[in-house]
Amino acid sequence: MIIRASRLTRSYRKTVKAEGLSGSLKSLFHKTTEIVPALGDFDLDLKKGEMLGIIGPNGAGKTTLVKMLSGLMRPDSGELEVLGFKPGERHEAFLSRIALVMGQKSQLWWDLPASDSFLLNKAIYGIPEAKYRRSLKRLASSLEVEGLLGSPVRSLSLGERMKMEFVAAMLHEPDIAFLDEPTIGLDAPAQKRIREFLRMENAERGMTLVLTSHYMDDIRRLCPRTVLILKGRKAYDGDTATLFAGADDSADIADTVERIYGGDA
Amino acid sequence: MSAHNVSRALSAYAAVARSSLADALAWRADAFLGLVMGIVRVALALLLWTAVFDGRAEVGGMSLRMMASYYLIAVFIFQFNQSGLVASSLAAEIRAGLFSKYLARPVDPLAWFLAASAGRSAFQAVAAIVAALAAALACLALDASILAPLDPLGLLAAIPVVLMGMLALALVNFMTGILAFVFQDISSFQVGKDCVIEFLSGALIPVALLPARLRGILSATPFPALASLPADLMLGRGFGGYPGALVCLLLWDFILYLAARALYARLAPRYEEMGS
Repeated sequence: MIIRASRLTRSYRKTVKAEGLSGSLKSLFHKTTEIVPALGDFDLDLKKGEMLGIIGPNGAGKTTLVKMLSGLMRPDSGELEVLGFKPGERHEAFLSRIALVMGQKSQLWWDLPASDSFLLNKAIYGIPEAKYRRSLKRLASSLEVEGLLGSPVRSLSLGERMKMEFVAAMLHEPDIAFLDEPTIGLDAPAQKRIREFLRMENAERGMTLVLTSHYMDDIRRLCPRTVLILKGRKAYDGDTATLFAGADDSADIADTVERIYGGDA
Repeated sequence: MSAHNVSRALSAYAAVARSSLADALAWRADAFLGLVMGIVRVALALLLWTAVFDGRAEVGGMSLRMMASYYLIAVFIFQFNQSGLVASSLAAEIRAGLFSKYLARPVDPLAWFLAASAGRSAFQAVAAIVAALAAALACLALDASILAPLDPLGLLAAIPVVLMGMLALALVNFMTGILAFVFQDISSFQVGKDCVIEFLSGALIPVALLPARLRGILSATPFPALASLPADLMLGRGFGGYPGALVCLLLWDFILYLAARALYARLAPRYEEMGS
């Protein structure tokens, strides 16, 4: 197993303020907080080379799960092992073998060409020159961005920028990639190109993929297995085709949940 | 850590410094305006001190000629350090949830910050030296006797002082930047810190003009290394306490490094609570 998670639980502390000016004044002197559960008793096993889709309504706990799997966040309780490491310890050997792409969080230098960010990742991951050139050529060609490598990131369209994020994230050929809504806001051709790219990375390198998305098309076309999270609990874990059986092509997360649970999301 | 890992880490942070330098070059108009403002500041300081001297030969043991030279050097050296700007970017990244890019890659955020600050400061240093030479030539063209000559030995002695002082300030700026893990807006901290450090460094008022007791306290801090100490050395003054100043700076760099590590270890877990 590449991922073993058992009874993972995580909650947040949230500040609560009464409405209006009096509420603001009160909160100056007395801060009230409440504990909000984000994920509870969550189990997950994933084999090498699997492509897992994680779906759920906003606030269900998908991003919390991805953050715990990638080491950005530690669970409050439970056992978690990814690639044989405890992700929260952020061991260098662990971080060198994963990639994290978050739809709205860029790792590229905004005012520099994307190729400068790639060179930086080459140094960070210690990628040998020949391997770097080979990987860059393959990735840029797969994502059709060869002609854009020298353009400042700020001048790229959202879709082009996202493709550059994927190039940056895949240069070191990670064993597992965590993708949190990577196609958000992209047009259909860009989504399709990225899906094809991910399928190829999985087929050619055996890269394991954990993907969250609100676009059911991403999940249905990429992931044979899907986990549905509702209010921080696993509500479904199994075959994607079974989950979407009978649903039409335009079904979104709300349709899917309503069909299975009668709208109890 | 193996030799291979050390070499990889050095190569990675050298790449961060290069990217930061390239990023600074992308904003050369900003840097140019900053330098112009530096020249304006020196010009205004000269006008002010000319009025203060009002025909007197010396003020606080400094002649007008020495004072003009001091300001020219101190103001430009003080401008070298760009870690405050990098700290503002770091704070903005924390607030926007972009700090994840450091956590999800095999990098050390403090080392990244120092490397990025070094890259940005290198660009500013080169530009500031060019601007200082231009300002000096303009001063000499107006009045050949207005500037005191530089001491070559003092110039060499000032280099380690400036580097160690910049490291101390970068560590202070890192600690200010990561306060964003706790506070929504750290700009008031930065403004306060900048005012205090500018005063303590001697970039605002020469340390030599301060009361003896305050001078004694300041000499035990790293801040004069940011302006007054290197300026004095370059003008052939301040050699008396030089070895002690180097030891003091070394100690401060070590203490601030430990403090920055401890503060980061304490505050970074707050990032997990931000939900971004």
